Amino acid sequence: MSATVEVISTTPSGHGRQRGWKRLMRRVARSVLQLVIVVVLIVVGTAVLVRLVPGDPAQSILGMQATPESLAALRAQLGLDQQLSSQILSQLSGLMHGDFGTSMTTQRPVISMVGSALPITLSLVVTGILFALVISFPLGLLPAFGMGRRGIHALRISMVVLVAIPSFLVGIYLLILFSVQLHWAPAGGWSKDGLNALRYLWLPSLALALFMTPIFVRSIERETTRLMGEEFVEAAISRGISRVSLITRHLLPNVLLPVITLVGFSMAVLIGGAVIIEALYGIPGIGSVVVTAVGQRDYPVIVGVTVFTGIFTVVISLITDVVYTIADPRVRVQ
Amino acid sequence: MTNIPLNTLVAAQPRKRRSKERGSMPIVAGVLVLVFFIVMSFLAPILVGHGPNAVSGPPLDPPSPGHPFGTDVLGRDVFARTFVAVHVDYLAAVLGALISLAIGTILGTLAGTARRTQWGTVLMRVTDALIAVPFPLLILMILLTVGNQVSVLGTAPGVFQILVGVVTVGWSIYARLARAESSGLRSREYVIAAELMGYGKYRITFRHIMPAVIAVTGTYAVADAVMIVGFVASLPFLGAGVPPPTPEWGSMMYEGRASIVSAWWQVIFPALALTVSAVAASIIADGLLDRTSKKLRRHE
Repeated sequence: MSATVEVISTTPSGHGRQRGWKRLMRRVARSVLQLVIVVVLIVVGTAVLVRLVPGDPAQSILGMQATPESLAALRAQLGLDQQLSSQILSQLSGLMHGDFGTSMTTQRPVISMVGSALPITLSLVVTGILFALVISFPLGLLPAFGMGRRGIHALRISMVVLVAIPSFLVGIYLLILFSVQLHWAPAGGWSKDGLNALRYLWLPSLALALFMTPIFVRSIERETTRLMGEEFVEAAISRGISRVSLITRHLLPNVLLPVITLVGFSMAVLIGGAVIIEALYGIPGIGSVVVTAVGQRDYPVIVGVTVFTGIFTVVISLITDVVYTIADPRVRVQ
Repeated sequence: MTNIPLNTLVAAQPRKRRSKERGSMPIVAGVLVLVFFIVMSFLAPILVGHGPNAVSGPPLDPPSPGHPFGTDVLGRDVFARTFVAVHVDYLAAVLGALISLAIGTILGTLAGTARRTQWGTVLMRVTDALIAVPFPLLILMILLTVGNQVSVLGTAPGVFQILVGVVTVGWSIYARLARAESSGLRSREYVIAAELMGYGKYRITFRHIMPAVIAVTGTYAVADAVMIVGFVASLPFLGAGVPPPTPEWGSMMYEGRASIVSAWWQVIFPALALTVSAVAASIIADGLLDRTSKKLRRHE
């Protein structure tokens, strides 16, 4: 997944030269366009895809044991009783009014299911990012601590290894180590009560963090290595500056910016990773909503959740890009 | 006196030196590991004497000479299942990456070399949207729509459907890479020279630009295959994936998860097989990336 993140995060560089408010406005316009395309693509895509499935799509979704009533209900939900165009239009206008569909099993609106699950997923993602940063910064800054060529090479290789292990597998390894062997954490589950929740939260967050760490470390280490060759760093070192102030005053401000962008652009990947980790640890976030929905073949829930998270990640990456713009002194000066 | 030893400055340029001293050793080693798994996927059932779906011993039997990796809940041999699972997992990874590579590279290169830049813009906005939605959700949605019980084109049930999902989403990254690469190549001297020689647009696109683009997207494909195999194996935990009894690492781990404390071998061996394969492929990808970036630098 890290490769994906790197590819995605290369996008802003194209806009790198036009800075300031003009850039910001363009960025907002681009996000709005992106939102529209996300929604249209999913609505049109699913409507067309359902019609392309050979045989009866309702039957293939619900399986052979489905009752005629539930089949009819699903056909109506899939819009198979309508014209393609009128189905797409009614779904789009529903979405514009904040209607993300209704669960076929509980009759709850999808938006309220997402509303109660999203904070849990976000707490997982946020603690995951924090853990990842705490792990990544010391490792990524190693070139500034005078680590030699071999050490850096070893660091890079170990990150290549770590990046290859899928997030849920990291979760399984951690589960075996900390829950089964050491009994340091419960083997999954969740608590509504704030402090108690931390007991359940730290292990899945660590799993998510280890999944993000290689991406962060690579970015920080590359930037640090580049900076160590810069003249202003050489000048600072020859001035006899202490290592602490070299790092805090000269390196960190420069390293932080690419990391902020990375966090913003990896939001979709992070939520995707969190969904899988949640399913593994039985945490009642978006992941559990999705797993339940898949188990019950609750089609509208899956579509609604997908559209919602799509919109959500676009908005988050817009916000981080705005933060980036404000945090970059080169922009503030203008 | 300085607090920082001068060798920090020397150590600051490890990258150029590294590519010189690293040969193709890691790539060869990685390929050997993958070949080992493929060979074992055919040999393993013969070595232990039972097929992957045959009940060959008591349930949850610990590892022994007869069952080197033990048996699962149904008494099937975990050794045979772990290696035969290579068929499904490698197939999904290789086909998923190759088809996405082909579609993405062609679309991206066409958009990158088109005279009208609007095509590139349209492509970028569509891929923007695809990338904004978390991959697992999008693929689950597609999987749920197309169902996973039917066997298509002789593959195990569910494999084709997963591929449809993976490719629908996966081509977008290749398209972005290809577009960026090909639009950069357009102004290169050798391309301009080919234009001056009067070659047609398609000849230039496919014979002169495409090979250089594939060097980049092909390298990414190896990393992508790692991602796909991890994703396919995580699907059972989301309630989808390849339906039983087809041996697949993810579903083996999912089935063994309940008895992980008493019968760890059910989970550990597929997990290790997946880890070792993924690490081997990831090392290949890293080595290839090193080579392509070196090659590109030499051209400049």
